[in-house]
Amino acid sequence: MALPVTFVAGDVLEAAELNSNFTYLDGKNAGLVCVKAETAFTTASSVTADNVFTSAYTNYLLNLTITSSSAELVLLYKNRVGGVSASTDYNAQRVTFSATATDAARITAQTSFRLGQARTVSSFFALNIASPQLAAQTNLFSNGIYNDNVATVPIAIFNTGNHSTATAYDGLEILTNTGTITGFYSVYAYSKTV
Amino acid sequence: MALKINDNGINREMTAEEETAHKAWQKIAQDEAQAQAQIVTDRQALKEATLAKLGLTADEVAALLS
Repeated sequence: MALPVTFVAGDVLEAAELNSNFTYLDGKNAGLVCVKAETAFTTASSVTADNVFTSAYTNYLLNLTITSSSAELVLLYKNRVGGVSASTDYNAQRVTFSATATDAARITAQTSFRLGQARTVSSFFALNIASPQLAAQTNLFSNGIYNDNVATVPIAIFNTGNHSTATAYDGLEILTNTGTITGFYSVYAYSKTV
Repeated sequence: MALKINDNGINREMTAEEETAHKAWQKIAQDEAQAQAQIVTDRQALKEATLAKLGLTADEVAALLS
């Protein structure tokens, strides 16, 4: 029997065909598994999510949308364990593109990882978090878009780096270096099995 | 007015202890951001000084390199 069994109007649905379709679907794993449902925050200086990194998955994706911010500000990231954020050993290489201009910088031994920036127009960042739950260096890569206060001036940002402390973490914190942010985020795990 | 935190999905005001710690860290983060901005500023100044020595505009250099 070819799976999945498909039906058209008027077909008789037999138990064996239905069960075969269930078996077929049971064998499918989603590529991304949502481990932190979309969560909204309002005029926040800090956003925490604990117990999102587990041994069930290795790599994770944070999607962060800032719908508004109180000022031009930098978005920062920290790993977290047991409800406490880690504030040492973040290293980063970043590149920003604005029209034909580029700027790049390498920044080491920071108290957080520079995830992105925000201004008054909405922005979006996707942060890949590699192996945070292992007692090893966490590699980090974010790319995103923020706008120079008007939607017609989009700016591209790429931040790569790591958190070199060899500790297993179970959560994350998003912070601002000044001002407040309003928006929402969700966290996904990359599936490890077919 | 107290700073706000979204604590695992709950929007609330920071406790006094949390706010003190957060503000102390923000000062460090601002210094770090300033140091990063200075790298870019210094690089831009070097670029402009070099262009001035060459007598070319940035667009002309970009055209040469394209």
